[in-house]
Amino acid sequence: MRNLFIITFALIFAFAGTAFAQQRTLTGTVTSASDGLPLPGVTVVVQGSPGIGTVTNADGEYSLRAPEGAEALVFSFIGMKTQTVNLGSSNVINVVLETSTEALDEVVVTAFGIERQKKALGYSMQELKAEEFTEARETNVANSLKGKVAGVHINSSSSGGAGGSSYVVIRGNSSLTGDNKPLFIVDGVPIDNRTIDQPNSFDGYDYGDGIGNINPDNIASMSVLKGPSAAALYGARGANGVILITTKTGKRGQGIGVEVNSNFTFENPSVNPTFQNTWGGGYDDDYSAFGTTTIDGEEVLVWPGWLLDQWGGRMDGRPIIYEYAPEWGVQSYSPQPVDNIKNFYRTGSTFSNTVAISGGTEKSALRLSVSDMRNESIVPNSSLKRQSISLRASSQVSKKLFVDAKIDYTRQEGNNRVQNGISLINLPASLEILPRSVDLEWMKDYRKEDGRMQNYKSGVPFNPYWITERFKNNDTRDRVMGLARVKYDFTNWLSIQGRTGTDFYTDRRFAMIPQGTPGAARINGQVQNTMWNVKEENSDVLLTATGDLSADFSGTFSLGANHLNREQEVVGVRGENLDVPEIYHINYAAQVFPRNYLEQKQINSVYFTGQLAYKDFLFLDVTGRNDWSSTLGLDNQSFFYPSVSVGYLFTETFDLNPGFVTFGKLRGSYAQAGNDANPYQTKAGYSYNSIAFNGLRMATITSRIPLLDLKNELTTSYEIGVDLRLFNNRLGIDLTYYDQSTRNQIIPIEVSAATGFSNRMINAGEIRNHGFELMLNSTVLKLGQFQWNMDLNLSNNKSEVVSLAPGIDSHTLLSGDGTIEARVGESYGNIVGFAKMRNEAGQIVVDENGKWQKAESMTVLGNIQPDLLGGFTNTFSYKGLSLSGLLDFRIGGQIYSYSKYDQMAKGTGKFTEARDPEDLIVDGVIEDPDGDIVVGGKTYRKNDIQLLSHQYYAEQGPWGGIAETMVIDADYVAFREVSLGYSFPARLLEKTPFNNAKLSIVGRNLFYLYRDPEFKVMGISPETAFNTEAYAQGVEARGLPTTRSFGFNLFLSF
Amino acid sequence: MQLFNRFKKITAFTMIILMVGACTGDFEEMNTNPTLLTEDGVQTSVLFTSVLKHSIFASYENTGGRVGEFSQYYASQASGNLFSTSDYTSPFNWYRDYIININEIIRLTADDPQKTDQNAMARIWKVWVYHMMTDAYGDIPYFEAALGVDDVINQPKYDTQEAIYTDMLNELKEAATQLGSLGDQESFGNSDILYQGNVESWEKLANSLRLRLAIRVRFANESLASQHITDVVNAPLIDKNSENASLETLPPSESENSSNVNFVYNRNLTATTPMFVGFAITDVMIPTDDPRMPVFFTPSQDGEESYRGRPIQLAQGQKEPYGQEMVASVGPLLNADIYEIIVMNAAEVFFLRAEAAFANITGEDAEELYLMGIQHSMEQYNVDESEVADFLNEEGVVLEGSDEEQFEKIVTQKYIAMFFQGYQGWAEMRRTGYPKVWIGDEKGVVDHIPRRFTYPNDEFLKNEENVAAAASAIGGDELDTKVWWDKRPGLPFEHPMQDVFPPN
Repeated sequence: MRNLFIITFALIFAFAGTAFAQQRTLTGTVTSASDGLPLPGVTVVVQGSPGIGTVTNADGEYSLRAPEGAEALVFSFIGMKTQTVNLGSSNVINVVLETSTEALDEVVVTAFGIERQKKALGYSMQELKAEEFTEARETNVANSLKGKVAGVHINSSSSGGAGGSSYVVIRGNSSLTGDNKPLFIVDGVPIDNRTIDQPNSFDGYDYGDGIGNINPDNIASMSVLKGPSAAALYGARGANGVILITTKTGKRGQGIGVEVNSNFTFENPSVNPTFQNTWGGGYDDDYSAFGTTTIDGEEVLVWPGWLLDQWGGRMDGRPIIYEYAPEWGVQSYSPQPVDNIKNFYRTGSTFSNTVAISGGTEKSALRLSVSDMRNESIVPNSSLKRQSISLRASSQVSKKLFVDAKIDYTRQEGNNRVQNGISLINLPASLEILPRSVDLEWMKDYRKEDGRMQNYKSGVPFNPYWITERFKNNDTRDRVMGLARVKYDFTNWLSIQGRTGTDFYTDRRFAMIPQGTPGAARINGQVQNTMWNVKEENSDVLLTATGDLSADFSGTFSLGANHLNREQEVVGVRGENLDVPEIYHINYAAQVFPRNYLEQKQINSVYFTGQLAYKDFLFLDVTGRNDWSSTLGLDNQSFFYPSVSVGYLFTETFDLNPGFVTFGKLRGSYAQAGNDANPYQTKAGYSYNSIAFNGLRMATITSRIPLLDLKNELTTSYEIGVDLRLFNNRLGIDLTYYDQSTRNQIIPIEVSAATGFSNRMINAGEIRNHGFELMLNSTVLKLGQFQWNMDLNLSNNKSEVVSLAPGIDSHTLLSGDGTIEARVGESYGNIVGFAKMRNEAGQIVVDENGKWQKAESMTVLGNIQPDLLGGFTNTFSYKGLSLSGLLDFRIGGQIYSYSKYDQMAKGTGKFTEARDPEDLIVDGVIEDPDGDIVVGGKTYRKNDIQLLSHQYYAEQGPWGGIAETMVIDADYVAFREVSLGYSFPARLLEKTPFNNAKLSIVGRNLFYLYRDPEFKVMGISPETAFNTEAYAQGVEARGLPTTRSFGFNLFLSF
Repeated sequence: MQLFNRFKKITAFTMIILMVGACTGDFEEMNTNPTLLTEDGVQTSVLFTSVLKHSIFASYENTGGRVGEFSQYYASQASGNLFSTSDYTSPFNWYRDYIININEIIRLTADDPQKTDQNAMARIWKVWVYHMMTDAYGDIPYFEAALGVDDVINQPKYDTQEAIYTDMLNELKEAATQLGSLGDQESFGNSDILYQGNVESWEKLANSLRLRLAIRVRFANESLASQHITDVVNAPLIDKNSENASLETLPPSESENSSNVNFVYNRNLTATTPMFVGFAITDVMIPTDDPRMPVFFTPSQDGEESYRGRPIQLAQGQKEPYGQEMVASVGPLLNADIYEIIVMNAAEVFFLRAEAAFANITGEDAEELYLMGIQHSMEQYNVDESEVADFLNEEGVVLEGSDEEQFEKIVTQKYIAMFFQGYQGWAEMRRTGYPKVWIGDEKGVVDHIPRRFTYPNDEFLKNEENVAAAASAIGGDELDTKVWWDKRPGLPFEHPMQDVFPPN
């Protein structure tokens, strides 16, 4: 801390010292012509004396001591046209800069909302403008980033379609504890992006995350700060990168303006599971699992109530009745139509409308927006509504005082969200493994006379109509995000800002299980009411000094402090055994189980940031931050971490660069970022079971071994990059290489059951991620008004689990046949399990009965992380017309597919259709002393033993515990997005009240150009996940079908 | 001067910021989970109820799974190939569920002179849980397992079954002595859902359990067995049905939760397929027209009223005669709304004493004890006395014939008397070779009932070195590797009808 003081004072003195050394003081404000906002970082120099100059501060203000004889000032800023102003008698010179058409002079929003010239940054970041996510939109705006930002991996949660959470990870997963998501900051204030009570691999509802609650129409821009260097100032939670969202504001000095955006899309399943249409229920390829009965003198097959698997005889049209559904009567034993399942879904739709009014006087600005979004899911009875109202006001109260406030209220209401995951009680499972002989039409009468569920069998899976018609859940979320900011300028070089922001929401969730649902705990119905209160408050102060240190050096130094308070409480009741028919209220539950859990954490922080610019080509950024977190061990609550970055514009200094290089920058950075823990990891204890036995309470010890001296995780990163613009900006290349390691991982390592515990908190281990990111922007063709732009982004990330705890070489992220784990020396997210037994020559070795065998021990079968992610955008524009298409792709990595597990275990999959006896011989060898095949000192003969279909298929994977069979390459190329837009020309609008109008036709998730043939034949998408944790991205767990959407977007302003 | 003032202001501001940052006074309280009890706040009785309830229910409910099918008390129509490599996680996960909590009770009561009885009861219960675990796997972690938060060993070493049994027998001996040794004590009271804190009953359970364990190891370590049997045989043992260690499931209407209810009853609420019974249990009861059959079984629904169970490992073409209507399913005893889960009954103790006498370890009368065993079992299931008398005269029951035949009868009657105690049935079948089991033609990785469970996959991830060492020490982590006490030569015995189909 001592060093911090010294640096602070030294810098402040330096600024003060230089500020008083010259003669005529000129001051003023530089604003942007496009939006009236102040422009920070504008270079102001005295004409003819380039050594005498300064840059504007965060509020666009400058102060310059000019020599007596000075005649004019030159204002220059990247992205703006340079302006020269002659000096008169006034010492106050305000300037409005106009936007330059030069594409390279980009201004971006960085940490603390400071707009900076992109050229001055020493680290990699990427900014997206509003059109990129408002036209072809997703209900969760984060999903729109897919394929658009290099180094960002996005997967939407498959749970429940609209309103679901989004998996967003920048530069690979670096933490084992699960949360690898970046920090989302809206107008300088962090929001809570958790998905509370998120689904697990079995079941659960996804009630959405924080970013999904933001109305895309209010967003002006999004900046993705990729590494710790960009995000170092955000402390503990910035270690995974930061996504900065700047919302729209009113404009000072303009009249009233109105914007209307209207968007309508409809969606349909684009990828549907496929089925075999030949074989019926049973085992042994015959009808022995069935009973028989005689009806009207005819022998009729009886489908027994326990039967699900489809390894029986041919569906040959003979008469059949279903023991468990006698009301269906005698049916012909035949495959049902292919669209039997697909037709279950309906066409979904989303209609969103936003109206925004903005206006401003000389001193104040205001923007009010109201929006409404209504979504009907492809699943019958499932819908989502979201209304929001947002008010932003700011005022330059006096010359020195600026105030700014925002309040944003969102109400979201979900109805009948869909549960997925691998539990057979879920909808997708009930459709995917429906026996081929059962027509969905028969099941529409889902309720029997006695009130129980109608089905072709007992227990699970359920009748899908029972799920969509009888299971009910609804939820409402009231969310308020707000901020208040006050800024006071002491002098023209010193200012202080105070800000407080809040994000709080209340979720009310109700879910019930209808009476008559199979299962002892379900048969009499269940209800559940849950209320979540989540609050995140951030308050900060920031003292900023800006000015020139000498003729060549200018800089900014800020010193700040932040206080974070986060609270989360759940209060709920769950009731079983409802006493009154069809009344689903907790009052009528015979047994009631309460739930209450409160979690709080605080982080106090102090930090500094300094930027130093040498002339116009060398930029140095230094930051440091110290956090005190309540979640760490008593002696380890305080931790410090620094960052430094350099940007060097070599094209500004040398004439060496060949003529075709318009702009060139080298950048490099080093940063550390600490990360604290979740609450309550430092102490053990005992807790009561929710269920008593005969009135006696029961308690058990916690399943986790705590760590009393818990320390923070520490991420250290290096990054170098080059930014080149060539051929007069026709081609832009931005290449970054990064290498980051996270040490002292806070890991609940899974320990042997023999310890008596499930896991143990430790601080150990290191995960390294390194890779490159490449962005290419080019104007391929420019002919008059016609322009063709091509953008490509690519990123590659390699991760390595460098170490875990001493003596521990693997950490399970998700258990299963295909366990997902972190293993020392390997990439994060290995899929581990049993392969088929093979000999040294790679031949499959079957047992003496010709059956599949598991390998001796488990091996690594794949890895969940992609090698390469990318997006490829082509935009064609002619006058007001533009056509844009995005392909995105993934190369590398695997997925454990539960759909394959099901289709293979139950025999419904298309790929199990080949069941002629000669097809059911494993292509392998049998150990045989008299065999003619010699491999590795053993002799084998060619296998020629015919198996039964279930032995050939089900035992090849699911039944045999051979995980290898379910591990499939996750590669894909998707036609992600297309949009055709037309901006009405001004002359057409002249006679209308509108001054701007744009109509777009958009499509998203159109189709796959490529996916693994196995996924293709199964009719499954490789892009679903049951929740937003890293491990979940490696499991395809029977999500809803992915959907394709088409729609219209109309934007009007007047 | 102006500059100096500014400087002072900035200094003050910086100081404030730093003080705000370092203000961490209430952090400790904030980071304490309000829902957890500390060591001082938790009552050992509440931990004890949990362990008793859950472990007893698990021992019963596991009999509705593979343990039940291996013991042949239960059969499922849906089970395909049971002789397969599978991930046998239970009962290994009992360390987490029960052993750790019992160890906590033992630790929390260790130094309290008011809780020596509680301490002894926990030690006895620990043996009851552990012996099923080691019987299932063979060598398992024991001395380094479940040591608690402060002493935890991440990767516990595996101990030999011999060392585990030696220690368990000593534990039972010590605990029985410890019980009541310090006079009046703080009792578990009703939290002891097995015996309501009754010290004498616990002593009898400890002694009876010691007898069971000693008999179990007698083919592997005769002197260890003899030493404990002769020591315990004259001590108080469970010798009345009223003293049986057992726990009733709760009536469905009054239970807090379906998890407190008889799982067979719950299952029947929605299932259409009955729970079938295994072939072997019916195979030994049908020939003697055992009067317990109508209690244990529901006859077939095909009009034959047959008590024939369903054989294991039926292959294609063998299932036809054993279809859903054609085999017996579990009977009124298990289907009832309340089921009395047996931890240990008097009948078993008599059979244990009969075996000890028969093997000349004790001087008691084997035949008399054998008959007492049968009578106590009959009494337990309220069988009419006249039917009992008829039964005792059945050729298959009267204790006569060669030594091996007599041994088979003792063991078989004990097997019947331990109906639906899956862990015991399977262990005794492995130890003695009886009853002999007919196996269908479905080919598995073994061609007889597995001799043990393979270690959980998880151990090879979390405790690889130790489990690998254990696997090699026992002769391979295979289903047909014999556990230490499985030393009787010539096992498993082939069923006399093994080459005949159908066997009946």
